[in-house]
Amino acid sequence: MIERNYRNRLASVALLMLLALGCVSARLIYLHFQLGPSQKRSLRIVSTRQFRESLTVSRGKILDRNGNILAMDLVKKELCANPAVICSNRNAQSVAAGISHILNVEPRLVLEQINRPERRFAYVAGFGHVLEPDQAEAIAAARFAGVFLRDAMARSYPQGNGLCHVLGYVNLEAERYGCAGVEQRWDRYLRGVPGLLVSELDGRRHEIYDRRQVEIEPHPGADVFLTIDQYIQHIVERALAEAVRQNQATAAWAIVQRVRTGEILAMANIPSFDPGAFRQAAPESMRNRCIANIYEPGSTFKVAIVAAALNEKAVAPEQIFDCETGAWSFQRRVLHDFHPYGKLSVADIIKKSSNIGAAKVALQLDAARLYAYLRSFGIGERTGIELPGEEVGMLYPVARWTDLSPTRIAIGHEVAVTALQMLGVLACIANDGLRMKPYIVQRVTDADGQILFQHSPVAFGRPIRADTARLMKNMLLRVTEEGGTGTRARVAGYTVGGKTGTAQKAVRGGYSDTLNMSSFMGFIPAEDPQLAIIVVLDEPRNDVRTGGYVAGPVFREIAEQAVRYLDIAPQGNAVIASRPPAGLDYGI
Amino acid sequence: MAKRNRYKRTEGFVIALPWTAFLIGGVVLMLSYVWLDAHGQALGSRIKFAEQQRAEIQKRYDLELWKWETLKSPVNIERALARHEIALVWPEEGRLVRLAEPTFTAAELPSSSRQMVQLAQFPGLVVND
Repeated sequence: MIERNYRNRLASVALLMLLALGCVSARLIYLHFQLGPSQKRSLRIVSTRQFRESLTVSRGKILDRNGNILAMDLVKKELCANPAVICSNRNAQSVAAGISHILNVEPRLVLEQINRPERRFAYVAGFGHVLEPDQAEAIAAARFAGVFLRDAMARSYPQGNGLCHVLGYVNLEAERYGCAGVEQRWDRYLRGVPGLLVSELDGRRHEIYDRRQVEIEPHPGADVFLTIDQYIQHIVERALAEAVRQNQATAAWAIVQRVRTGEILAMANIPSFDPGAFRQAAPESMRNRCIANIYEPGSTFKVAIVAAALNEKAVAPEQIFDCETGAWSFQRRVLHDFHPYGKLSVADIIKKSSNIGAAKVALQLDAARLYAYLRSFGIGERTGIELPGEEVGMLYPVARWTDLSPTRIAIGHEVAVTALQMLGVLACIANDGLRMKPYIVQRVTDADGQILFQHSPVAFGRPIRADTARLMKNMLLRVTEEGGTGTRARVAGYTVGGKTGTAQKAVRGGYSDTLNMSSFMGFIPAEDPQLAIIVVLDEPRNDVRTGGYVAGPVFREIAEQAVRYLDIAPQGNAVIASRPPAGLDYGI
Repeated sequence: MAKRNRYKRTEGFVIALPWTAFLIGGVVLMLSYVWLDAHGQALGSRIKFAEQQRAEIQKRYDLELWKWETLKSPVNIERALARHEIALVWPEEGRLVRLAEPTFTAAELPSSSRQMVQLAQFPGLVVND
């Protein structure tokens, strides 16, 4: 009897176990072969173990001509917090004090972010703000409860504010688009192609490597090499900052260009901004005035007028013009000279920068011919430099000119240019009449070093003959000699050709007597020009505001260091090395 | 040949050889599968670890590169020089000696100079006339 009961119980237990196993098996078959009525549910089951991740890719670097990094991607740390945890521990005050001490911000700002018990996540230093490596180390060492660091890819600029207007910046969105400068214009190359990973996770949410289904390697962005030299750029920025400070100017900008090729060695603006913290920058400080600011050039424009007249043989350098002792009435409008002059040769009109003389030279040319020359010098059209936001300038068609126009255009009024356009005119003269296309990107290489794009010098054309250009060079050389307007631009041991410009700024109803645009453009060495430089100061506020007085010394400061750095001999016959001889820069 | 006795019963439980081979083969196959799976998973873990290490090294390399680039930027070098009160100036133009490619051939040189040119072609020989 007992034996029988035992067998019955055993059979019942075995039956129950078989039943349970059968249920589990049925469920497994049901789940595994997705036999359920709802596809949505089966998809949900798959999605719990499957993950799909876009593999982030770093943007390419931006480098100068010598391979110094100007912009690169860096994995930095975002400072995040769980305010609920901090508040539950009742140490929001002490955490805020500790963080603010490390970040050097007011404790109140940190407290505003973390003193929210209802929230489980907060950016302590604000969205998009990344920590510097030393700050991140300090935060990690402090081990604040409820505070944690998270990786975030950030664009970093090792030069700080240097070259900010050329480099531009990258936005804070996930896609990280370039929004200005080279970052914007060359975004297509810099961006790279993100990869893709589709795989499965285990119960601890770790990836199961052998369940990888899709793995597409990301292609990092290409590196963009600029024609800029970081040391020359630094020289220019330092000189401009000092000039702005001394002259209390609103802004200043300058460009250094290689005459023979059109390469831009430096392009600087003051005020500047930190591209890594562009959201804090004032919009005015973010404009690349070298290409995006048009201004009436004033006397520097006489260079184009006289070159055109000489090329047309409408005048000769020794031809005398009456400068009317400082006031000349034409078309019932009086034109003045800064200093009164009597009779001056064409060469002296340039040297002394006589407005009346230049106006009379312009009248020797037919308006249509004058317009054609100005267009061939590139006035009123973009140079095509590889940067966004370049302005066209302003040159009205002849049909809109009045009888007075040639006399006003001759002195750089009724026409507006960018500094790059104006420098193009001078560089054309310095380059024996051959106008070169300015360019700032030398080459683009991919991660394997293969060249994707390479720039070669391009000539736009020859607006003036080589003999006219030589004449002009000799005349411009006299500007920096005794009695000329540009003596303060002289560089010891070198000959400098150039032209000063002091334009009154246009205001409502006429021209201002107090606001000026002071500029100097020149080339060095005059015998065999290698570098062309333009310096513009906006609204200098000291007593003497002429281009020669204000911008001339800035030119000298830049030129005398640039020729030494590039090892340009006074006669200009030395080769400009792409890299300075070892140990020359700073002696290291 | 002795006739097989169909009614003779063998003692105990006997499995035929083919079945035994089949079972052993199956077990070996299963064990191989388990071993391969475990090996594959171990390799996968090592690859994952190597991938993470590579990413970490890349991060550290980028960080060091950034630090170095920042350190040697002209602004920072100037700051460092100022901190140590070092003033560097460019040499005066008169103190520079520029060397240029000769515009003449060795044959055009006077005989004494020609000899020096010939001697200078021997490596390690100091010509100091």
